[in-house]
Amino acid sequence: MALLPRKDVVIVGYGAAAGPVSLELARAGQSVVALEAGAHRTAATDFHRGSLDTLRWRTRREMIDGRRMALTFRNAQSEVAAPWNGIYAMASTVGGSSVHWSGQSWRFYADDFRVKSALEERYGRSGRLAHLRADHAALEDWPITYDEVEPFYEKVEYALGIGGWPGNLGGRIRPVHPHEGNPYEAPRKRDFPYRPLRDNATDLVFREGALARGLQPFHVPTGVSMDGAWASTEGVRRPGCTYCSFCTGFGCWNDSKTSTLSALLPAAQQLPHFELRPHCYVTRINHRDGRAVSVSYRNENGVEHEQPGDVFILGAYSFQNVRLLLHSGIDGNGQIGKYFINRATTNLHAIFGHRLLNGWNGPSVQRQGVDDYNGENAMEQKLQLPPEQFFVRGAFIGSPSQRVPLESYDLHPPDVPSWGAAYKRFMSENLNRYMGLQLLTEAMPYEDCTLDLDPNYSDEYGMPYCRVTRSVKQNERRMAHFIWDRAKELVEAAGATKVWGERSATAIASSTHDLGGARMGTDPTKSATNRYGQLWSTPNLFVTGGALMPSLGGHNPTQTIWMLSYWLADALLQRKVRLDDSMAYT
Amino acid sequence: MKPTRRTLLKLVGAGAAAVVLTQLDARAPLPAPGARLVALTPHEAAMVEAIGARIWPGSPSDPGAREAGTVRYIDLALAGALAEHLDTYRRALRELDAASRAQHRAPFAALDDSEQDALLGALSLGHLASVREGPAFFGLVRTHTLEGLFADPLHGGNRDLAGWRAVGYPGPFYAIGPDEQQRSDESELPYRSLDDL
Repeated sequence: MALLPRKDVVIVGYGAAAGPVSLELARAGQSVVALEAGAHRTAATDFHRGSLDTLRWRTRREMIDGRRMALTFRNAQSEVAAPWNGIYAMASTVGGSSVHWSGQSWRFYADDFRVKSALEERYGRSGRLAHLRADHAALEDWPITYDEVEPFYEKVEYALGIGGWPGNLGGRIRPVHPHEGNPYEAPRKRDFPYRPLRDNATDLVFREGALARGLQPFHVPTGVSMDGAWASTEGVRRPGCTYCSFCTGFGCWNDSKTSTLSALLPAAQQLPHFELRPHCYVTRINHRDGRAVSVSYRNENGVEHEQPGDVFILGAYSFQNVRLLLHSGIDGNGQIGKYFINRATTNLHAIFGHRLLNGWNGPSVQRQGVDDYNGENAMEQKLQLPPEQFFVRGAFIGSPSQRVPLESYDLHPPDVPSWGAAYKRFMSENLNRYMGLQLLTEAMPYEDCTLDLDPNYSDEYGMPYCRVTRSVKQNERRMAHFIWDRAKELVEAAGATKVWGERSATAIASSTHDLGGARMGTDPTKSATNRYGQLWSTPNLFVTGGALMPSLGGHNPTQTIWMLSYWLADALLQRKVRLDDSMAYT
Repeated sequence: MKPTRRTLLKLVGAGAAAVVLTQLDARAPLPAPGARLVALTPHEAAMVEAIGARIWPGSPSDPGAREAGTVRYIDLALAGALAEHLDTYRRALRELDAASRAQHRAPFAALDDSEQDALLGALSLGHLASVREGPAFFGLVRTHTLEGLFADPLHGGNRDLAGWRAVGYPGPFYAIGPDEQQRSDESELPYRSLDDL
């Protein structure tokens, strides 16, 4: 095994989570190496000519390395898990899943950070939370507040470039555009640096339906540039979006979509102390006496290397961070792998017989949505429900585009056969009149929903697969029914002539929002890390990314992942943490 | 009754017969000009093509999977990205053909449409006991046929953009304007493939 020169900071993975912290630390003069398992694909070499190819990137998932997709799945702790290969996130490439994300970019609600307290305040005395207790829900407040992290959310918006209409600017609701912006967003001190994408036909129809239902639709904030006039605080100027339909699941052909690759790496590469090493697959964290001393990795030829350092930051995907910790014998008092959360899936399909939508005609993130049923925004309505239908939290409902035929051939209703003349007729007549809604349910963490090492499956280096145990329970089932019915009302108000879908909630291994597993907290007996992601058990070892999050939120998590990475960088640079004592932060 | 090669010859004048036959003779595979099979045997390819033609049927005025050359996509993919499925294809096609010979005393590709539909329906529901993993195999052929229909022609199928034309998808584009994005009239946009960009 080759022993390499020591670095100040060793970062495992170079995706969304690793981008900000590696840039900030290298800029402060620390020697930083980022070890990325994937290849270094770029717009110039991989995402340009010939890359608008759905078969290549979406169907065959070229950016997702099958050897690294080491997941098994089961619904209950008593079951034997089976390999699961339906993953659409976890890209193995420089920039990670931020390269092929959709670009929907949000701040979490202020109450998301105190989700347990907020629910106790609203419902604690009424007995409405009994079903959560019965199912052993493991809700906990985050160890940080929205006010503390607000500056870091803003930093993401200006360093990576997030466009939107302000919904709440210092308490003023929709102060810039009276009919645009999420009126429920947490108060922001500063407007977005630019506006979101335009609306296409699908968005306009969705908007009509939402307004007819008395809701407050808005174009979702996007990490996709509206035009090329704006330059980030990192000095990166990205061209404007051209509205091609090759966005979610793709690297962007013109870099108009922000990512760790397109927005942060150009700045990092200017720094003498930053080194990016692609094709390096970390297989073990070597530790002694409660301190990490090095990581072992395989390069693209399978040759093992050992990289020593002073500070170690795990910035890979949630599954991989947890798997690596457990495989390295770091179980954090049994807290590593607990409280895994992802979306309970449910779906709604609609046909607009009298309206051509041409759902293929823009990126997925060109999307209107409503937050009227998200968080506790629909509390009054929910309190009218009979107790056996009551649920907490809610869902974002949106209208994605990017409906190309290669990804749409299974979108026919159950009364249409799946092959033959009737199938062909239905697809020919209706594909351009189709709208499928995004229902972003906020599922709960539970005591029995976990990540651990699978005892039966391991990869070519002997690393056991990450075993996902996840089920939906009463709250998810009730939420799915309620949200599905509201979404149906919305599309019918917009003129849908046929509506169908899966009204029940289903658990899957990966919903692309796969959070928890190394929960941040205030109590070492109930969490894996402190408020900065510093492991209680191993103070020079940090986790950043979705694995830290105690709750799922009703919004896409990527902006919060970037925010937590800036939050960690600040803690290290301002010496808010001590590398010999994870209890000693200021 | 379906037109056969014989009845067609009777129906049309001799001069037009050759043209009509190349378009309508549903029993002859239609490989792309100059294309050679790389994974499947000619007999297997004829079966895969016949199955595709029942999944997404076609006619001269309304091309289907056969006319779109999805068998070419599948043949290439089974030699490359989908090679892991070649053994399944080989075994299941052999078993399906045996079931066809047992029921109809004819190979599958020679059956008429309704006979093929009946066999495929039984296959997809797991009612053909002689084909192991019948529903899984049918799901595989269906998926691969539709991939061949809707993937860019550079992968071997979707000939003349027949798959995209059938559903009104104009193909990839680098940029699109607001009027095109918001329009609701039924006129078709120009069709193009990656090769045209």
